[in-house]
Amino acid sequence: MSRTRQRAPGAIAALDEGIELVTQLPPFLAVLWLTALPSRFLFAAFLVEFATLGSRAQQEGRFLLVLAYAALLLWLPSLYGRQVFVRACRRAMEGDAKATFSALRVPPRELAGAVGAALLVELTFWAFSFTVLVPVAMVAAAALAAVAAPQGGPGLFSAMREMAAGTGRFLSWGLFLFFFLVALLLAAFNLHLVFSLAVWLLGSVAPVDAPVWAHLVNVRNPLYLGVLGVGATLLVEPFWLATVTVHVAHVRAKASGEDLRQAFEEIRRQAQRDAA
Amino acid sequence: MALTAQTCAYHPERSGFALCMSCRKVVCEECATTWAGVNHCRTCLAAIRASVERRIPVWRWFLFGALGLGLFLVTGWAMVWTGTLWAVLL
Repeated sequence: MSRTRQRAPGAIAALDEGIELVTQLPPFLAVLWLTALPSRFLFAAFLVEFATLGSRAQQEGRFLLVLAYAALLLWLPSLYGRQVFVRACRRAMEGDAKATFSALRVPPRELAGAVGAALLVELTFWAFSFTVLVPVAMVAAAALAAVAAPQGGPGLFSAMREMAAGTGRFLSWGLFLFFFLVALLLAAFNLHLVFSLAVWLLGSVAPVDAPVWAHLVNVRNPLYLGVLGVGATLLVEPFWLATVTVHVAHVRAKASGEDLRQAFEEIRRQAQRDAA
Repeated sequence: MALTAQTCAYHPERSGFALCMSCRKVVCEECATTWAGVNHCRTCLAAIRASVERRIPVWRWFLFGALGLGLFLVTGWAMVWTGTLWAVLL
């Protein structure tokens, strides 16, 4: 008699499933990118200002504060974009492959839960940016704020409780963070290659001032580094969100016993196949 | 006993397909709905939907709005304060 050993879905399975989900959702990918793009560029410009000003940043407090609030204001629509994408991922997971456009109608209570949690995560990220572990943990928490917190509705504590309930094993998060850090670096490197190639091609076919462009597309240029950072995060973010959505769904299924039902169903199907 | 050997709680003539995770009743394929990754029967799903759609008191929205606004303002300050400190130190 052959015995089938049921394996609990782990981090690698969540990664695989997440990547597969993203390939099914191009329209929602566009929503995610369109809503995220303005705030990402403004966040990058905000950081570039500090790099350019250096110690003079102390004298430009008012300007920097306006820039920070502008970036935060533009960041709010990007939270809506994330919600739409996460909802589309969930629907695709439940078998609705086309993930209808009803995913665009995010209930206000869910959006409020996500925004509250995301604000708290953002504040913690900036306040503890001098430590190493807290900002890294906040990258994971930001994804959880988009995926798990909406069920907490309007309210910070209920959203935090939902985030804690959806966390699962820390080892999985370590693996996710490692994989996506590598992916981020690879994406930035590839973007740099694309930009360099474009400048080289432009220099050979069009009458452009090549030295000026070569100076602009240079990793020593903080603005260019900012653009690379924005591009790389935009490329990796959908996969990151989809993977975390799958992971949280697995954690919830395990907590509710749904994973056992699915396992038994698989055993039953296997038995029927063997009998046939 | 196997799930398929039992009958649906709402359709006794049909064989069981899933177990409602809220009331533990066996239900047929038509009566089972997967919501948030978990199977529910029609009655439990209606109860869940009613609780989801329950109106949130206005004061809770106001409280959330005030908290959110406070967090928003403090985050802006934290961004500038931390960024300036980094810029001065580096």
